[in-house]
Amino acid sequence: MFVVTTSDTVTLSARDVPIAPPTEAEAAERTRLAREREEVRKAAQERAKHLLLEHLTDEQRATFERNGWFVVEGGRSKKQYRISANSYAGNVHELEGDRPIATYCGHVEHNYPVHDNALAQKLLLENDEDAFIKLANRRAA
Amino acid sequence: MKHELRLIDSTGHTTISWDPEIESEVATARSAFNDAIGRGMQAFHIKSGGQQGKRMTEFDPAAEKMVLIPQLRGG
Repeated sequence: MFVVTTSDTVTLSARDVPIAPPTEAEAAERTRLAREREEVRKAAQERAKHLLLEHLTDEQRATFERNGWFVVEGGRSKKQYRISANSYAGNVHELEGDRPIATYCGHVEHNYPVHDNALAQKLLLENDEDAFIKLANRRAA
Repeated sequence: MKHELRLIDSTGHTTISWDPEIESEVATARSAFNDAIGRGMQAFHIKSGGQQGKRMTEFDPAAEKMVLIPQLRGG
C-alpha cells in the first residue's frame, strides 16, 4: 500500500499516458497545413529556377534545360566547372575537356531552394573562385 | 529604369528595387544591402546575359543589378 499526498509528484512514462487519435477536424487541419507548406515550397523552387535561368548564358541555359547542369569558367584559373543544378552537395565537378577530374562540395543551407544553391555556386566560382575552392571539400572524381 | 537587388532567401528571393534619382528609395535599398552584408551575405554586381560580374562590398546605387547570396559551407 502507498499513500499519495498532494505534495507528492508522480512521474508517468509515455507508455502510461494514452494518446487520443486526432479528431477528424484535427486531421483535416494537419492535411491543410501540409498542403500549404508544400505549395509554398514549390513556389519558392519555381522562383529560384527562374532567377537561375536569368543568370545563365544562352549556352548554359541550353545545357541546363537539356541535362540539368551547366558549365562555368573559374574567374581566376579559367578552369571549367560543371554545376549540376538538381542537388546541393557534391554537385560541382572540375572538368578537363569533358571529363570530371575532381568533385567539390560547397553549398548553401538546405532550407534554400536547390536552384538558388546552383546560382550561388556559379557566382562564387566566377567572381571569387579562391573563396569557393577554400571552403569546399574536394575529392578526386 | 529601376535598379534591382535580389536577396536569396527561403522564398527563392526577395527583390528590392530603386530609382537612383529618388533618395528615399536609394536609402531603403542601401539599408537592405548593408543589413544583408552584416548578416554574412555576399553581394555581386551582375552583368546581363549571364556574363561574369563583380563582387561588391559596398552598396552602389548606380549598379543596375545585384544578387546577394548566403554563405556557402563545405559539405
